Amino acid sequence: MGRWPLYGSSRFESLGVSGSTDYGTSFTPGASDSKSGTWTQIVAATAEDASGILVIITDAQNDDALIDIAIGGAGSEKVLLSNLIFSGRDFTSIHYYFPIHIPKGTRLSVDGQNSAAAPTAMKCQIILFTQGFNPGGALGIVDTYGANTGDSGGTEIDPGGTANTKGGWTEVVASTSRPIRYINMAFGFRDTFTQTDKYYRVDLGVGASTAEKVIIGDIVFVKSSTTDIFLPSNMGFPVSIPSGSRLSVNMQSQDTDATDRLTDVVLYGVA
Amino acid sequence: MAITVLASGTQTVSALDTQYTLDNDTDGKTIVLAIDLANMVNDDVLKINIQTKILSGDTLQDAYEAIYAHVQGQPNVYSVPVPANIEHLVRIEQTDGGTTRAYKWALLALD
Repeated sequence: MGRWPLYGSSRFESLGVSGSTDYGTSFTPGASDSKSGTWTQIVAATAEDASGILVIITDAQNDDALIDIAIGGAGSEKVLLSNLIFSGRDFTSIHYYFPIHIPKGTRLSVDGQNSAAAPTAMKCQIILFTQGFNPGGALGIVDTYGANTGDSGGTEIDPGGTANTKGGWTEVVASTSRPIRYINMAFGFRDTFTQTDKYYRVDLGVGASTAEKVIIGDIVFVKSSTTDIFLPSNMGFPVSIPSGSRLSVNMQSQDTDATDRLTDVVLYGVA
Repeated sequence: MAITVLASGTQTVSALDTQYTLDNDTDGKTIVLAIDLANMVNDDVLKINIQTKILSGDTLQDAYEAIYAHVQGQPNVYSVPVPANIEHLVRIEQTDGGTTRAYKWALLALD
């Protein structure tokens, strides 16, 4: 199916960082898996229309978190990006990119929830990719599938107890609410911070149970014992998935430890 | 050849998740939908759909679909030209948002 907006990028707008010693706007997420309810402003008004957004979250403690980015005035925030999963140990930085339109003059803010009972401040930087000669704008909206606000994580995927063998399909969403033209797959480690260096391979599938078809297959990831994080933590792809689709993930790993091998998955569909 | 207006108007969406037909015809033209999204506010989501036929005996099927969400920085939106040589069906549907909106639109013919 065609999609008429054509987009290009001619400059970047960096938000949330000022001065040579600043590495992002500090915000304190809600504790114990609850959103704080307090939005922290990243920018009062963006300078230009944008066709893409890069969200950079950094943290310096062991935890899982789900991060929201909102648009709109103070007291009128509407969630633009919902439940971006963050999972890492000590000093971690996670980057999310979405090719969506954000108009000039938009106020952007951040909130989140953290698995810790007393989370420390996280940091958020946003980079907007502004349009060149562009007749229509980028994609419109991001839908989140598979986030678990009960533990600030995602849908649990078990690669199985046999090394290097796919563990079986796990449904992430039974029926997508909108068509997806760009999808981001993100991963977390379920608050488990005793990882060893291991390889993973991941499939994204579409279709009914027992009839899943691989649409993106055997993507290699690694997990690091140094940071207890998937590398990369997420990645995006152009796709063409109709609304009403069932999406599942299948995974294999070198790790057979019953706890350490488990992962969280969250999918972000851009329409 | 001059651009002509096949149809135009203002469509008021009175209910969410309801398709509204802007135009359905057999003009046999290359069409461009122009629509004004200036009334959209944050949380609004609008789906715009164009259906055509490949052969004259076919059922109408989706050719193009676009989804717009929240306030639009460039509110005058134009579809790509669609060579609807047999039949076209152009519809809008607001799927999200607290209050429904009115959308000005024009269906242009390039040939």
